[in-house]
Amino acid sequence: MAATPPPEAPAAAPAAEPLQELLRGLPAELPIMPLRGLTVFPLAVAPLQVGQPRSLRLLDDVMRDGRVLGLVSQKSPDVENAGPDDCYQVGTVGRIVQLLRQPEGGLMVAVQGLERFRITEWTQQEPYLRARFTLAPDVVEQTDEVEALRRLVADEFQRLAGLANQPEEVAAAIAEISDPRALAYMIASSVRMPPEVRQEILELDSVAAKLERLARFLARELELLELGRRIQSSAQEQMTKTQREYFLREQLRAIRKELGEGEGPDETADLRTRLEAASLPPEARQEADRELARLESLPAASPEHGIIRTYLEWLASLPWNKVTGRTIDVPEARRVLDEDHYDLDKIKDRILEYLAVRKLKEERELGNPDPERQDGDAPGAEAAPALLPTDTEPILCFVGPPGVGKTSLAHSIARALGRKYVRISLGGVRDEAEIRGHRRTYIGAMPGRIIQGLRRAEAADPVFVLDEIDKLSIGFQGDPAAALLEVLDPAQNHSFVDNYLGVPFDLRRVMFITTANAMDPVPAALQDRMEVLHLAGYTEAEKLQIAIRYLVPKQRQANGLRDSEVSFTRDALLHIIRDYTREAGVRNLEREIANCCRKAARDIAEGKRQHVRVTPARVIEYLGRPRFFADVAERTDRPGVATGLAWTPVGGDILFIEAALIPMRGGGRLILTGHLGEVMRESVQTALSYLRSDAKRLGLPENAFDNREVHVHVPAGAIPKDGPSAGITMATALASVATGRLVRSDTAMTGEITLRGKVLPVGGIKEKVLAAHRAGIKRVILARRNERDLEDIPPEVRRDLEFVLVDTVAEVLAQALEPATAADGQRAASAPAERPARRAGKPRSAAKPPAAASA
Amino acid sequence: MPLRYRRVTYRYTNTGADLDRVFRRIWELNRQHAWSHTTRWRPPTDVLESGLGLLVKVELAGVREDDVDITLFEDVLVIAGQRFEEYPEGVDCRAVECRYHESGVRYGAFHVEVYLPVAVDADRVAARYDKGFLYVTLPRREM
Repeated sequence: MAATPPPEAPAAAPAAEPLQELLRGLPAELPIMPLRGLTVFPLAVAPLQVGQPRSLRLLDDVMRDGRVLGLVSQKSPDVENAGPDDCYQVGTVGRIVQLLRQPEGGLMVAVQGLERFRITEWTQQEPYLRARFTLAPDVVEQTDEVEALRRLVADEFQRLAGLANQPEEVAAAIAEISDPRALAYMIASSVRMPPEVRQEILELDSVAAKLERLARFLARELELLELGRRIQSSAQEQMTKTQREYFLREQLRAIRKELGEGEGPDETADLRTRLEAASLPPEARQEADRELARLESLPAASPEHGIIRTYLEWLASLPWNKVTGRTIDVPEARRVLDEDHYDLDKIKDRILEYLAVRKLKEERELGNPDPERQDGDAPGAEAAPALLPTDTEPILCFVGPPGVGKTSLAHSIARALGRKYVRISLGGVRDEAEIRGHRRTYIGAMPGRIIQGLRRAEAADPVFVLDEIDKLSIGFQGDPAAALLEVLDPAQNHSFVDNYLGVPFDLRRVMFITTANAMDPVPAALQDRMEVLHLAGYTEAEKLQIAIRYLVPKQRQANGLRDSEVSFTRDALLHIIRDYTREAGVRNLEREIANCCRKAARDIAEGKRQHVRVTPARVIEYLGRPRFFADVAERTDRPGVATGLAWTPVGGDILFIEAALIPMRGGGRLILTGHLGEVMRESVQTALSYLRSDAKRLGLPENAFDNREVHVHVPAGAIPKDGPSAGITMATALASVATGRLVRSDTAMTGEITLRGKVLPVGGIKEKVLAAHRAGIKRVILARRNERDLEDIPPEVRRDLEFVLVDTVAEVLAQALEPATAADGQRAASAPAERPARRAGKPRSAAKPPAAASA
Repeated sequence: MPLRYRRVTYRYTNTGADLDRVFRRIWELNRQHAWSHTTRWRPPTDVLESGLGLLVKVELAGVREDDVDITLFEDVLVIAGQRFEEYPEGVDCRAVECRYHESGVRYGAFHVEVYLPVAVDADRVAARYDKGFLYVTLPRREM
């Protein structure tokens, strides 16, 4: 056969003709096979599984008779043996392409749709349906609209294919189709859609309409799929996240376990046992339980976790009920006190009385248990006794200069009682929160010092020393002294609430002892609660004893020396006491002794000596030149200088008042120097005014102060001085300079002056007298009303001194000033008289016969 | 044509599976054609290229030469036609009541498009139908 040459125009498929031929050749009537849940479109090839007997029969006949049949869909797929009413009236003429009979009898048939048809008349129902029909070709328009729709539908299908997992060949095949009709049918066959929609598409005549309907359907499908996808992906995400977290946390726990760090529950279990062991009182117990519950529910990473933990640890570590004190044994206490401290008999007696009373009360109380003495409870209304156990016991306060042994006394009390000893220093404490603690909510909150001290003590009944209670100051954070009122009040401190703890703590069993250098700065309310025991300074003799009995042995040991290697002579010690220290206590003395011991130790260690005997000469060798001199005599060798006595927190001291008269026309001015305080200045003015007003009676020249400036100076200029007790001293100095009479160098005085010339008593007599004695004074002039203070002075000092008691300034002047001499008049404003120099430390007795002394 | 005859039951090499495979094959074939956009079937085709040119071999039994149209385009060879269901004398059983157990032979309009990868000499293209195969030779165009 010959090949035809290529035609001019590109051909449309020439085989379209056989189809048209076939369609034209169709009979007027065709067998109709109802389809269940399926719609066959023109051009589509559909596989059918046929089992119904009548359909089988139909197919056999059709195979013999041209293989063409009518396919209509059933309105409802459930109907078996569908009749004409069960079927749609529009279907597709189809041709059987392939057939396979199954062994069971059913048929597998592949049928291809050719053209739409419309049933006009049902002609037969048995053995199968037959009907007359008309062909209903689709209306194909070649418009832009159709083209646009085609593209749209193709696009949508592609997207859908992407989302809904269509096989790739489908999408690829569809991409190739340019015929809108073919596209519409192909897509309608492939995409899952409800049978009604399929039928609808089939029945629409125009291809444009079909495409449109398809477009709408696809759009909706896309939306739903899109939505479903989003939901699913977000759900997945969420799941993944939760899973991830859980997984990571589990890993963390496992790691922690490996490291041996406690897991949450273990930590709290540990705390729980400790809290149990601490035997908390009910309120504290409640609080602890509450906080434990909170702790367990918090993750370890939370910042609150740490705060609660710390709090619970505090609760667990406080000695709520631990007592260590033995029953008080008074003789034993005495022994211990004596062992630690020399003398201080009065103090020791007081302490022992205190202990004895406490002991009796405790013993008697144990016989009658007080219903109120429940730990931590507030006194209830049902309680009867008026006298609570420690109701009236005051708190001891040791007052005295530094170094006298206040703190160490408290320490030995603790030892005597067998109790724990804890000490807090209140020096410089300005903040009330130091006493009471901060509330837990603050960062870095801690309980106050009281509770902290108790924790350190690990006992509920320690000896608690509050050192330097006079050094509390009021800051803008509150008044710590006021906070202490509660602590130190025995009627209140059984339920002391620290701000941090939040629960009451019973302080009744604590023995508080306070110390101070002076009572003045202490608020009255606080003073009221305390019983003040004064520890004045030590006399020379006492210091000597202390040195011999305590200081030297202690320092020997501290410096690694044996007893036989170092010894001090009495004179050496006295030398040190007198010339190397000027203090009320023994601190410096101890230091100097330590100095000597160290140097001796060096000598011995270097092999220079085997044994060191410390004599006064050796003292000079070790310690250098003496530091302190008694310089009384030199200073009072001209008129206008009087010796006064002052009280300082470190003990008494002598001071000199100097007065001078300066010629000045007009005069009348009073100059005061020497860093004097207000009261002292006023007392100078008082003195001056009195002298001027009563000059004649006192034997002063009438014009002594006329045309003169008066200048009073109190060395040393840098040290602030205040107080009225130098009043008579001022008067004496002024009188001395006015009359030109010298003041006796062996005399010192102290007393307040009034405008009428009376002498008033002053305080601190003991310290002042001791100071006078130290400085080599022989006579002390005092107000008569200060006589009873002389009892406090040790007898050996009293023996050495002569005390002159006066009522008026006139008497003072009579006692203090040397008798008038002719030379006095010139000396009123002259150069100092010559006096032979003294050997340091030894006062010379007056050259002139002393004035009559009064007892 | 020689025919061998065995009086025994044939033992299927793949019992059951054979049938199954047949079903599945039909099904798959049908699926492939489910979105056919044409009612024409495509006969199996071989296309060979040699130094001489192209050879197109189409398995196309049972057609008359007159029912086949071969058209050569610039780049494509189109073979189209119809195959009718016919039975030679003595074999035709359709007059009597008969039914199909299997119908796999394609009838009706067919259409083959073969893309030509080389330039061919249109004047020397020849076709031959022998023993059920249609051979179309397309010599290379000499430059």
